[in-house]
Amino acid sequence: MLSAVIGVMPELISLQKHEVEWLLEYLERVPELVTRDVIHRDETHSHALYIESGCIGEFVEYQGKQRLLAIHRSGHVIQLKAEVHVQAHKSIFRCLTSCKVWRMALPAIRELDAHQQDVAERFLQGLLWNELLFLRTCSYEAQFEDRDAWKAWIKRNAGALPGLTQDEIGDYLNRSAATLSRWTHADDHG
Amino acid sequence: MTMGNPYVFQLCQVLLQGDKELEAAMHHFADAFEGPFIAQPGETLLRYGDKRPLTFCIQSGWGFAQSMLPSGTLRNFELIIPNSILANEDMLFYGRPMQAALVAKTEIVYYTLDHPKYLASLEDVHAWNQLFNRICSGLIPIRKQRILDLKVMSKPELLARLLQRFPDVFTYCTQEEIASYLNVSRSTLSRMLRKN
Repeated sequence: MLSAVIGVMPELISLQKHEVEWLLEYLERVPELVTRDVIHRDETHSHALYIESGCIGEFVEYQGKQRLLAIHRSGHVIQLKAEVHVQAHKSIFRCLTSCKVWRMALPAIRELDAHQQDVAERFLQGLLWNELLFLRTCSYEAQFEDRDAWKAWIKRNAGALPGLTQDEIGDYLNRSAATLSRWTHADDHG
Repeated sequence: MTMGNPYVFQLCQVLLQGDKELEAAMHHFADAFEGPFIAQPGETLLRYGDKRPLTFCIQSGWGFAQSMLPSGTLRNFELIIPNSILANEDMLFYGRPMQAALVAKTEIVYYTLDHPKYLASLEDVHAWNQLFNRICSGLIPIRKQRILDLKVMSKPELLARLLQRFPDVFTYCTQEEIASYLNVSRSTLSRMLRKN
């Protein structure tokens, strides 16, 4: 599993084989099967989730409403809490399908020796970079406007849709339910 | 030339959140910026496909970050505003060419950091890693906020915000460029302006 996690790390992080082996030893890995549930956040420990299968929606409370911010799919790593990561918005992670995830406790960096600290920090760096670029993609998505872009989005996220309400989808795409219905109708009729 | 150091340091200091331990690393980071340089209106700071591993600090002036549409045309995607930091993150994070372009719309005064040159000058890589993680962590909530704003704000609200952040936008940009940024047609933009 960890080799898959390392696989999603940016190339420039360049973790070595023996470092990967150390991480494998060090990270506490627990496979979990979760179904249509809110992922438990542990506020006291830094940890991340690797999604082996399924889709997880990231929601935030904004202007009095819980809004879908992003959809994380298999292969993504989600940071639930990291020492270096100060979040202005507390995200709520909800399974949109049945998911198999791996919960990883991230090392308490200050307790490690210098080399291990370096490895752990590069690992965290990889998570942060991934998240930044992923959010940039979400930001592009937040601006798409036309029916073709919407169709592509629906196709990409087909597996996640049963876990979302029409309101949440409309909200995510910044379109009214009526517009989405019109697009669907037009689609049904070629 | 390191005239920009105090400015860059001041701009980035907010990301330290009062952490004195990283202040020396932040000073070294700020010292590595070169400039000030001046870009003229219409000049491209980073072009689409650019491989230069640069980070920019924008001291003054406005412009647009442009993203590539599937049709192959560039669309104004994000506003470049004074006191902001911009990076070729595709290159810095993944070693890939830039997936956007940065174009000045007014005269822009800026500083640049060449990352390989900077990394070669580092004596304390550990402190830099910590600092860089801190900077990236600081950017994540900003990026989330941007997504939320885009989802929640109506087009007239986005126009009002554009005018607030770039008051002379209609002096320096065509209506077509502004419509591209708001992701509306020119006729919709005209209607919005008439209502204003």
